[in-house]
Amino acid sequence: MSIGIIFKIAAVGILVTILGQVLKHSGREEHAFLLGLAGLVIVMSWVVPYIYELFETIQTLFSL
Amino acid sequence: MDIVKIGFLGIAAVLLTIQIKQSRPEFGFYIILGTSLCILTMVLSYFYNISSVLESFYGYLGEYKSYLNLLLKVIGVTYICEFCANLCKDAGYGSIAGQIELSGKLSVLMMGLPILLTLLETLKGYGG
Repeated sequence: MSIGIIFKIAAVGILVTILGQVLKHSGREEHAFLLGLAGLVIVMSWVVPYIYELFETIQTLFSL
Repeated sequence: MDIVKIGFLGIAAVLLTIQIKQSRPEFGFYIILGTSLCILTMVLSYFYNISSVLESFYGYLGEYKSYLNLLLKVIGVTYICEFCANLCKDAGYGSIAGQIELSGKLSVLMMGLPILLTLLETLKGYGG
């Protein structure tokens, strides 16, 4: 659990934004939408394991 | 100093989110999610020492050992409810946050009821 995850998410966000604008202005509207989805999937693949690990530790710590 | 690190982490995340919020609102929410995860795992290390100290209290509690576990359980439930409810509020969905908080309160109440019963019995016992 490093702090780097926040900046990784931010980097993906900025990248998706810029590429989306480029795609949008070159007329590829649906590609921009797919790009947003790809960004979503990438960020989720990073964040979900941490969420699972967090809830796991809370359960073991508080013997829920 | 851990608290300084947490504070600056939060401010940095907010600044990042403001920047990204205009063009990509959903990524703003992801950054907030990542930040609260980081802060929560940092704080969880405090809880390990707290629970170890609480274990040392075990000796003094006579037959009321189960209350200590119950206390920890209640803390855990409220912890998770706070985490999820505030995230939903941040994303702008107050109704879901309200539902989560309500379910948290109910589960805590459900946990606390047996203690209330034992209290009433002891009172009845004193009353004669």
